[in-house]
Amino acid sequence: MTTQTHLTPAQIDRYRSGLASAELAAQIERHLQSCPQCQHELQFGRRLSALLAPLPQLASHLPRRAARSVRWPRVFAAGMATVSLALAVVISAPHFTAGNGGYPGNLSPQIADAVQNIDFYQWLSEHPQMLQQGMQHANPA
Amino acid sequence: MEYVNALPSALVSKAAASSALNQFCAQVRVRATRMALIELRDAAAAADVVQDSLLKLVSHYHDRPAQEWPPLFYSILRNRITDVHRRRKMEKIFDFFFSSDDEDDAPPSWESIADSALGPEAELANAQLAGRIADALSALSPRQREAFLLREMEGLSIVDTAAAMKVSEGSVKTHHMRALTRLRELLEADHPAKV
Repeated sequence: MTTQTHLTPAQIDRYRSGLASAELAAQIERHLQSCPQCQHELQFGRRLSALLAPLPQLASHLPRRAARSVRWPRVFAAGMATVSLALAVVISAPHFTAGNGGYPGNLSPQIADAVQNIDFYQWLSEHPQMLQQGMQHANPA
Repeated sequence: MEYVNALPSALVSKAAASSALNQFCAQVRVRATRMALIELRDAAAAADVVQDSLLKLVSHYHDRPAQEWPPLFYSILRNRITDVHRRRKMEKIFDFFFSSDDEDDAPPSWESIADSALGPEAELANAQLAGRIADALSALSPRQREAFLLREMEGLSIVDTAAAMKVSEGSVKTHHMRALTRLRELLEADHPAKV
């Protein structure tokens, strides 16, 4: 690396950020001692920071954040919608929990009985002789 | 008493015990305000977060060694800026219920502000250049921007930058290098003249 072959911006940035290996850093430092152009390039970040000095003056031209005010019609509408939804849930809830005389949904009493005693009916299907015996000894009443 | 306005009067007596701290606060305020402006794009909010951060530094860490102040201060400032971003995000969620005059959320670019500013030609050119650089910085990721500003504007060491950003030293180096590379791309693509 002589003053004729300048460092690339990538090499300079790698050195500046501390990512260059010790060997490369030593080479770059030797080159920088005799190359004002690369020294200038090394100060790229510093120059940018210094050039930001007029920013506070620019900031005085920034539009101010306007004060927020509540949109009452929207708040009222959202409140009404929430209350209506809550009422709808409260009113319709009994229909879902107890439809026909305490049986869930629209089930007939026979089906509801079968659902509640499913284990017994499964056992009965596996033991048909018990069904016959039961029918023989059934109470005619 | 060059630095007498660096701190709120309530804390001047505390800082007076350490004139070095008061001097640090005065010096850091200008650069910290620039940093906060880039992050927040609001002069009042930037001044507030810098003031809050200085207050916290003086009230909680005035007895710490002077070399610990920069990373501590920038760590506090970073947290304050994050708080403001969070608050804005939360406000956005409830925007449906609020109205403001500026319905358009996208803030104008720094360069467009500089273009509309009035003043002597040289001043205007400087303002436009500053606007262009600020816009390029805004295009970086938050971590890259923070690493760049702390290393280049503040001149913090890699160790102090890592402490302020609460990341590893390797991460600082990587973010710093990516920031430099990206800034070169942005500024040279945007305007071929060398900065």
